[in-house]
Amino acid sequence: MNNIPDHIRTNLYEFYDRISQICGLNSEIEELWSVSENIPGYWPRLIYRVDPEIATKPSSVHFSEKVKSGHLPELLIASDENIQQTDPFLRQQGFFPFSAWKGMAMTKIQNNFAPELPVDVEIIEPECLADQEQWLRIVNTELVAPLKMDKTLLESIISNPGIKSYLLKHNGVGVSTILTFETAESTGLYLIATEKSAQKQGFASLLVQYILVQNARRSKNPVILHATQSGERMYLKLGFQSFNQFFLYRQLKIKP
Amino acid sequence: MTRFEIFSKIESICQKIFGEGTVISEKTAATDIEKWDSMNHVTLIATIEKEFSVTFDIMEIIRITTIGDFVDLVDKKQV
Repeated sequence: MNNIPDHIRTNLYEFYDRISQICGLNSEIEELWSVSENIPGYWPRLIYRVDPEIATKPSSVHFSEKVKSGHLPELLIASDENIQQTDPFLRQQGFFPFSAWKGMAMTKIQNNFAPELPVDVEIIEPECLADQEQWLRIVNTELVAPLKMDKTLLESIISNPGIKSYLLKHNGVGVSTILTFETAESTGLYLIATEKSAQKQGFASLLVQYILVQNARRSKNPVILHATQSGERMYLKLGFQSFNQFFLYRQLKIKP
Repeated sequence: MTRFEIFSKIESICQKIFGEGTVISEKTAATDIEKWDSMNHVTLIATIEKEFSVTFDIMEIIRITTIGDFVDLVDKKQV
């Protein structure tokens, strides 16, 4: 893993804290963990984070009580520092790991990076109803399903300073999405999705490159994203570097 | 337990979780089964661990993409 400063690594947590705030979710932020109570099945689902130290510190008792009280998240994020210690602790609480994201950062964006868009491709910020519906359709069907984000939620998210949504259209039809979240120190890329029929044609890569150029014009801040195993190669090719791994856990409600 | 026996037991677990009649092969991946979402994935992992009395390491779990990967892991962990 590359040595990326701590203040860049936290974009993911800041993003979900902000989204929870926008959604009016009841949040608690503790030293070693934070929780936002959501509506099951609705985005945002990634509402819990745990610090690597949780397995060894006395305040983990409070975490356990929270879990036992039934105010449970659907998903939880743990980072890879001390994961071999954190994992048994989380399993004891009834959480099982099921996936991981690689935290990736681009700290220096080359000046000649601007991609030339093919004539049949345009990238827009979806403002009209039809474009917003296309954006939502892609996000709701192509990300970890099933999840639900509606037009009202999208509107309240993108009306916030520092958050923008983008839609890549191919022959006038939306095929790829991104949501950007800008903090004082970094820009995070989220909800990167491409419609199944348009995958492996370079649209997501083109959209990410476009956003990188837009970001470079505004600031010198690094760009952060969280890649699945299948997406990691594409981002490495674009010049991103891995800096951390985030593990996703779900609580097992049915005893096997 | 032979590899075939491991597969057969996992196939039976899959049918309980994803529904009777779900067609499974070693190449079957999450994208091939509509009901294979993150919740069912977790249930599948926990059930396989219990049925075979094994525990998967977290780094092993995140590399699982197909039924064949589960078969490989159980096969490897058999004493």
